Amino acid sequence: MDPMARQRVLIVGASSGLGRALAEQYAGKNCDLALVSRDARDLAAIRADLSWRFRVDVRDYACDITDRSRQPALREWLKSLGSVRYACLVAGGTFEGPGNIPDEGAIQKSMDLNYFAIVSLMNGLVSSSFPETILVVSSIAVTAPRGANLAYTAAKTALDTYAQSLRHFIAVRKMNTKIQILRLGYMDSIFTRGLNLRFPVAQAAEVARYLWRIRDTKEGVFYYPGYWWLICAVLQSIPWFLYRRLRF
Amino acid sequence: MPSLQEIYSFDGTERVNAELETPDRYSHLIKALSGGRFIARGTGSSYVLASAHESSCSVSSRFFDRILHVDAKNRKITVEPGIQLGSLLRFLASMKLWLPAVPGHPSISVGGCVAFNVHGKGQFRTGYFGDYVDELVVFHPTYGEQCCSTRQNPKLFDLTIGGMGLTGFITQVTLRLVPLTGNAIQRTRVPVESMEQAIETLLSSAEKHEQVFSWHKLGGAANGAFAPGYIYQEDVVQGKYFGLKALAPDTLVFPPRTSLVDRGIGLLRNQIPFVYQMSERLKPETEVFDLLRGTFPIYGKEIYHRFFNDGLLEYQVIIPHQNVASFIAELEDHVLEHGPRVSLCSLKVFQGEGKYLNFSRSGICFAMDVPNHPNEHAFFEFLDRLSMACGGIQNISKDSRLSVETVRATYAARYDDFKTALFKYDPKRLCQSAVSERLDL
Repeated sequence: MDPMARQRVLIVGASSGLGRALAEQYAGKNCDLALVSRDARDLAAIRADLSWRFRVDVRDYACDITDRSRQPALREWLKSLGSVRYACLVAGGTFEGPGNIPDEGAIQKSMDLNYFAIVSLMNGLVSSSFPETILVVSSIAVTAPRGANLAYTAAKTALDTYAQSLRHFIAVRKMNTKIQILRLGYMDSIFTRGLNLRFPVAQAAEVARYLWRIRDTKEGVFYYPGYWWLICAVLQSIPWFLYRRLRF
Repeated sequence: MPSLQEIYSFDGTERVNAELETPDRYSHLIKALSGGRFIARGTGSSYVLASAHESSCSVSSRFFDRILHVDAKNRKITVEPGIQLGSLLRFLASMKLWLPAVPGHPSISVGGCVAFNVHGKGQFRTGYFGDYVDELVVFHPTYGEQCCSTRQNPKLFDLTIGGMGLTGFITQVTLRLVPLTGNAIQRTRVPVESMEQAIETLLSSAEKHEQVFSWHKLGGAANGAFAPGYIYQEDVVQGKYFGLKALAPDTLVFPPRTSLVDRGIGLLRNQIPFVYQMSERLKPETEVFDLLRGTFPIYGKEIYHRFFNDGLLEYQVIIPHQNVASFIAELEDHVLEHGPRVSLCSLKVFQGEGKYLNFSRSGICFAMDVPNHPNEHAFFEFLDRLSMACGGIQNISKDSRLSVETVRATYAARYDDFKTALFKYDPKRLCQSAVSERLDL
């Protein structure tokens, strides 16, 4: 039996996309799950499906993680889970229309969801539940910012930086929690469907399988698909007078 | 965000540029369904273009593929419409339960099975897919989500079973199940010299076996008989192994291909019946398959569709028993005189008379595949005339060239009843597909 079997995996943002794919991946490996998402109906459907198909224990908590008034209750619920082996904080999203400077509301929403809420959860987990690994999802846009999704990129950059700092904080204090920062390339989601993208789009299930494979081995910042590391390195090396001409 | 896509029918002969929306949560689904004209889309494996229209948004059920509830005691399961049959049956087998009336490929979604009230290989015994639907939840922007069954809201239930997705988007399906009596499917092959002999053998086999169907090489044999072939008799048995293999959840969508390689492959299609007959001769008379492989005979043979780079036309018609002999006689004359390029011909036994546009009548079901070519269109037009003369009804879900005139003539009052009930339910006709337009619905 896999050592992960019957271990509890927390997934925040579990109702769709990568979160749902991760839930299926871990349930398929006999892990018990704790799922958090805003959409109660989707969450109930996923809980039922995974419980029936994989016979694992699935607990769920429907809440908007950006609603600060709900956070004490969410923290209590997280405590009630007991030990969590792996925490995947994959909730995120963009609130900007294409080709626009985001308004204040969109910036606030983007920061609330992609940065504040995830950081708050990370802090809570590090100081109370002590999971072995915490995964946060950053973006390739962090290394090569471009003139689109400005607020999303800024929020993910903040999250990426915070997670790296927290990783060092943990290392200095010789704590056991590992921090994984996934800089994700194009993935099939409501944000990419219908767009004409220049690089292949990964399926969420494929990303989830990769994250399962590297669950105990990788730490710190990494890219998926791996070739994005090279693309980002090339983009970073391009001088501004050329970079400003790029349309991507 | 909806994307504009070229969407094909599975037979590759119908195509439209249509908006495709693939919501992955309920709030997005309801929003997508509330923006105007729409049509539900499963895995896109219907021969006809029932899930797209140039002025409708195709709303995919791809992410609504979950098991919502299992009532093992009462043998019922509630699922979302996007769940594929292969995945569902694999789960059911693990609970020693089964769904008997299923079509031939595991990629087909449960929503699609409801929309065309599909049948399996043992229709005479197991009935239609709709016979196992206990309850549906259907979303329509005018009414919201409505629960329907034979007990509650039966008009909507009848209109939705076999209703081609024109009553809304099914959000939940509760299915009645049967106990699984074995762990394998045993298939016995019986050679027949002619189509007439096949009919006799099919009818006698139907009394003894769970699933019965035939395959024919449509043409004259050396001994002068017409359409020799094989009868396949299938039963669920307790096999010596229980190899319920996982089937890849691939889809069956094959856009027409135009490369030189595909053109070359296409030239070989006339040899399909000969190659099939030869390969069958090499196989043992009786074979035992695992449940999934036995249930889904088309799985693993998808390459068949690559032989039809300009598309494939399929004709399915049920001819009442009393007219089968005259149908075969006329068919024989036409085939021997004109030599249509029929790559597949198969017969099944059907039982029962259904409502509306369901493909249901007691008789023998004839299925024939030809390449999408003007010469073969003439053959299908001949079949239309012959079917009408013999009191047959065509399968709307298989034939993308069926006209409203033919459907009106063959389905008669059932067509008018369906149209009247549909317009009464949805006067604005928000759910539109290429099929509904072709059939003036």
